[in-house]
Amino acid sequence: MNVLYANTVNEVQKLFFKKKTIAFLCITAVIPIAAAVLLSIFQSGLGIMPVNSSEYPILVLGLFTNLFLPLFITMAAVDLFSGELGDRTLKTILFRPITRFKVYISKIISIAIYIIVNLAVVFIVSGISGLFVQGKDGLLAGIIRWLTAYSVSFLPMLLIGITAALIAQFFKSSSGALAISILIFIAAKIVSTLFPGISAFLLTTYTDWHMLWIGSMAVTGKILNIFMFIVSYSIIFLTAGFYLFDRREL
Amino acid sequence: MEKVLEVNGLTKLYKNNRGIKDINFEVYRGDIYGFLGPNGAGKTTTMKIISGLCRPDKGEVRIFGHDIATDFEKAMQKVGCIIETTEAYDYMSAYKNLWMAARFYDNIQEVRIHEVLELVGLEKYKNERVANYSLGMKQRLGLAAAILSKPELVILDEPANGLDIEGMVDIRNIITSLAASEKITFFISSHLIHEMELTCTRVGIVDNGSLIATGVVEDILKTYSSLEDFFIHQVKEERSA
Repeated sequence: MNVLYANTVNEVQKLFFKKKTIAFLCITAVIPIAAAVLLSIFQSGLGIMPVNSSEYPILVLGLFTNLFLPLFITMAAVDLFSGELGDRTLKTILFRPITRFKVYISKIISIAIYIIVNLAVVFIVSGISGLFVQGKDGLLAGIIRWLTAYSVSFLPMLLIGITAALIAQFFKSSSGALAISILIFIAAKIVSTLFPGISAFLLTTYTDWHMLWIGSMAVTGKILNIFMFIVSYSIIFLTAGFYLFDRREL
Repeated sequence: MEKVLEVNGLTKLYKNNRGIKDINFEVYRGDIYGFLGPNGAGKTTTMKIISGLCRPDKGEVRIFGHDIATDFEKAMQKVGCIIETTEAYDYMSAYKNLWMAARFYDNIQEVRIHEVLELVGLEKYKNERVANYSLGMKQRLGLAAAILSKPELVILDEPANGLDIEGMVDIRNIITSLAASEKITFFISSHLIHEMELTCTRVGIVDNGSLIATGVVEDILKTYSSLEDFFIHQVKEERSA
């Protein structure tokens, strides 16, 4: 078996064998249902309709890409790097016949797969639970918008994962890496709110770039610009993360 | 005799100026080579460099003729390792841990996993989570993972560390029977001289970061009453020089 593929399978398996991963996936599934029920009660009581069924999955996606998914992705990335370093299980991979580059890449691929699974769960659950929200106009047409929004959300979420993997290289245990990652994420959010001028350079600005894709205005130039930012950041952080991982002495 | 492991001019100094200096030795096919030395002598540093866990400042390591710095995958293809402590994913069973290790190699079938579990005496506990294992059981699982791919060279760093007498005897018996039945070459580091005397065919003595003596155990025991005597004699001589 190709060792890159072999270790990717192993990394995915390690992620999904952990109880907390399954717990987070359950939380991911429960939040859209609970929010839909609350929204449904709220709308019936007030007789107003701020959100309809076709908008609901987009609303939920915004909530997840800005809050829950960055947290879950960071936890997964930190677990795969500094968590394994702290548990001393990382060395059991490093003396197998696989280069460190392939180990690093397979861990990033497994984070990507984890993101896809999370987005798929949110997509399916929010789509179904959205049916309980009043207003079914344009539901079918909305599905294309949902698919677009959820698909393009993958890229900024992957950038979050790559960044968390880079931060994890500075720590020997997952708790420190997780705390610092969360602090950096919160600080970036605050800075981008207080100083909009520099927000374009902060990766947290792009967590809801899916809104550009489904908006009514043609913003192709802006989308391309942000895409280039995300790709550039990803390449830089991936390279820096691998450099530190490769130099790590166990 | 075929060289399985060649270590040439290996040097690595840490910030505190400790480490290893100009280590040179060879391990031949069929050897059970003991790398003997007191704690802090540089055994684990050497083992870590050989297995790719850290890099030397100078020198090279060749395994089956492949330089680990440039041809790591090929060099490690026929190697099994336990370095420092045996660690497994404790939220998984022994069986699942071994399956994950098996994926790195071609042609490891389920039957081989059962075979190694049987060999180290863990077949009965294969579906238990590793978190519930004793230290001895974890050490045996580590050995099972190290020999799973039918390696031709097994590198063991302090395999008897932390084990009780029964555990040490178990590990020794497993090593000697594997060397005989599966023709595996072993490179073992330890500070337990008596264990090394009972297990190894050749030894290298390391002290203060340098390899100070090597020899065939059988020949050494013709001159000295025990390996311990040889060790003490060599260390005294080196330190007084």
